[in-house]
Amino acid sequence: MDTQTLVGTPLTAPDDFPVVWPDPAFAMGHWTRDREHMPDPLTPMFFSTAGEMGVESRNRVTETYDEAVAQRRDILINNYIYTHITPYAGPPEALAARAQRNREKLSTISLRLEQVWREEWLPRLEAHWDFWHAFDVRGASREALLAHLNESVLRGSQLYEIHYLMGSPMWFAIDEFETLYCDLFPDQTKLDAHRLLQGFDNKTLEIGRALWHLRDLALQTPDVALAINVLPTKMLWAILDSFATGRAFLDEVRAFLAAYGGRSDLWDWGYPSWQDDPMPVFNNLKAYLAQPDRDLQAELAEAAAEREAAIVEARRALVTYPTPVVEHFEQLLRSAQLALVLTENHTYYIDFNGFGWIHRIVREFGNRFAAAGQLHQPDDVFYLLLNELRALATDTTLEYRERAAERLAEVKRWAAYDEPGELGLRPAEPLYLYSPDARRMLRYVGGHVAEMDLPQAEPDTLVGQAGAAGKVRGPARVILSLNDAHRLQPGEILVTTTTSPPWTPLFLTAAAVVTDMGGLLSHGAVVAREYRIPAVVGTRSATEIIRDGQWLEVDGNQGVVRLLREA
Amino acid sequence: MDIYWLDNPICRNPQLVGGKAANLGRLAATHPVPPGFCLTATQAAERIPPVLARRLGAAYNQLGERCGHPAPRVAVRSSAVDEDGQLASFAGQHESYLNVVGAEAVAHAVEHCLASARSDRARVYRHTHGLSERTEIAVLVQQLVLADASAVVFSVDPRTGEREHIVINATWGLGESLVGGTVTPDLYIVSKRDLRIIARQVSEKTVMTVAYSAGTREVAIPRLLRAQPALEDAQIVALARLARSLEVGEGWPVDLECAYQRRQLYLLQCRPITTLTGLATPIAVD
Repeated sequence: MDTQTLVGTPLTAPDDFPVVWPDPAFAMGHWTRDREHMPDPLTPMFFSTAGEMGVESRNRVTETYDEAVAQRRDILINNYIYTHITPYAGPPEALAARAQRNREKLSTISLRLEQVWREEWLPRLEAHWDFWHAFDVRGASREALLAHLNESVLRGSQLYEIHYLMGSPMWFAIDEFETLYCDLFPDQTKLDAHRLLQGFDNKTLEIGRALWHLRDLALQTPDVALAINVLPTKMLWAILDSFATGRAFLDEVRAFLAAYGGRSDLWDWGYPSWQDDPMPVFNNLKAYLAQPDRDLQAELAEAAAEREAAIVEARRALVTYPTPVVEHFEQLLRSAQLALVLTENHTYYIDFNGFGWIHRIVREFGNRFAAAGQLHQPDDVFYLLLNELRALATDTTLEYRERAAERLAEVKRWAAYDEPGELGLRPAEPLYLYSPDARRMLRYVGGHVAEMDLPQAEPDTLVGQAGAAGKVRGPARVILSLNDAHRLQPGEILVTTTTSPPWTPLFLTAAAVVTDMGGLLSHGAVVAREYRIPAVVGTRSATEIIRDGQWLEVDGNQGVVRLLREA
Repeated sequence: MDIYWLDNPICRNPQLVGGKAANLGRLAATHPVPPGFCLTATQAAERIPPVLARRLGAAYNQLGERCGHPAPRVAVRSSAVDEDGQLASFAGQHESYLNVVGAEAVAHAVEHCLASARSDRARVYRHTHGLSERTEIAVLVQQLVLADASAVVFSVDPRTGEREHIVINATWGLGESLVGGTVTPDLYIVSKRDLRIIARQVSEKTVMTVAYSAGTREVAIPRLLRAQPALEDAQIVALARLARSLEVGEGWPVDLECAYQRRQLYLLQCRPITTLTGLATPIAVD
């Protein structure tokens, strides 16, 4: 890390949050938290494996695209991941030339995104899934399973590479379209631009629909619906398993889990997947059953109809524009529509499906280590480092029972802690990053990126960014962790730090969404637009200021949340 | 006040239809001039009489038939009897209204054109150019060309007086950004002798004028198109050829306003170049 200048504000961590830098020079850098992707402490298994898989592939893609981020470094402080971003630096002419090459490369790919996805990226992903599908995890010998794990880590590295290869052109296409739309129609906003992109099916919606289908099945079977409605989630599986219609319903749940249960409730696949523990599925079903009259299909169709109307309107306005401009608009519209679908789908294909397989392999090791007395319980395996797993796999006399248990306790202890959002030295000047993907990454990690100034707030008003249109009133439900998600009731406004894809099912229960972090393209905003509920994102402080039960007016058009005195 | 179609020989008389419309009237039959009609010159009046308003509406509807559109977009321009002559160009002194739609709106625009002739700005211009203070004003109503690209063409280099050089400025969209100077246009220089492009300077064009609502507006040009040449080589050569032939036909150096819409070339204006002292004299034809 180059720390040639020390201009900035030194940040002091609380006394009970001891910061031990892996390298003392790191204290001179600005380290920030990506709470959208990594809100919770990381499991050691995820951190060590992702480190082995991710860093090299990211560096390769940085060079392929001449990206603006020269280096991204992730470190663990008290089990929380902190990120430092070094922008590519050089003489102004070299920087300008690199930015130009980056634009040209990304522009070329983003304009033929559909073809590249279909002909290059998707076949590579499918080849990896075939490999994992074909392997019998349960039946393999320890040696074969370890070889399979090592091969899977190599393949995981390739998944990361595809992830990064897709990311830059995807964000570029969306960013270009937003800019183009606002340039051509100066009285319109970026939020308006997104109306032309919404309502296409994607994997996130597919999972939402499949869950909603389970709710429909439960509604048709009064005993099942009753059980889900009144019984505590923990008891549900056993009770449903005790009567015939309940068992039939569980078969449907199993089919759902086989298709979509590879995901964890968090990005960190070291935490239990839905297949390991289907509690989140039942929590969502409880909330969905409380809305018996709702027609999800009709709502989704409405989003698509609104999109088509917005496209017709734009095309009508473009009648007077130069032909090359219209052609460029149509080309970018198609690319941005696909890009937005891919932003949701790549999470499913790569994070949940791809890394879900690695989770299954590691957990199989956990089963075997627990059976052999090398660990207390199967899930403890996620509290080892990857090399410690390899050691246990090759030396059956070795045991890490206490080591894993201590790490688990440590992660649990920090999970209850409100960790600082940034460490080190906050720079006086925002970072200059020329590419949208790099700016987006810096925003995700809460870095100091030049943003438009938020308007001055009135009293009892929180100002963020308009994430999804609409205005609604309702009581707030502040939810900081998905473990807490079952408290959300239909009609309530979900107030949270951020939402990642695993939170999506809650959007079918919430009346609106308010987040501390995020922008127009954070997952929460994208999904809120699909489900057509208002969202205000990036308020910075909603979860600190708003209390449970506080009546709110969420104005997703203006990006404003008003705290009301009464209902 | 009478109404005549642009290709009617009456429209070649600058005393009746003003200099601007007469220049186009002379060329309408033989060149790609957008269809249109003229209201002959009159002393400016506050309102046009009802009879004329009815005939104006009928002419507008007939223009719609010619354009194949029931409510065509038109440009309404004033055309003073001593305008666009060889002594003074009057550029920008009289009002123009672009993207006017509907008979009623056209009538309003015509009234505004008549009123503009009485404006202080126009009077000062006339005074400083030694013209009489009061003038008669005609009005030209023409189909609006929704230009993909607009160009101004000079049959001699107006900067150097070089007669061998045809100079072209071009940009995306309607010509208003070009004429109004809000954009740095592409610059092409073509050899008059063999129509070879001898210099080109493609600039970063940031804004363009597009028809919008009842009028126009200037919007940003998409990033990918900014540094793209607004004209293809074949279009540049076609414009140069047109300027060369018009210079010969008119008998003096000319500047043109042109537009390309879907690869079709339109001639919107043709004036003598007035800024070249001593050059606005007949040129010997080889």
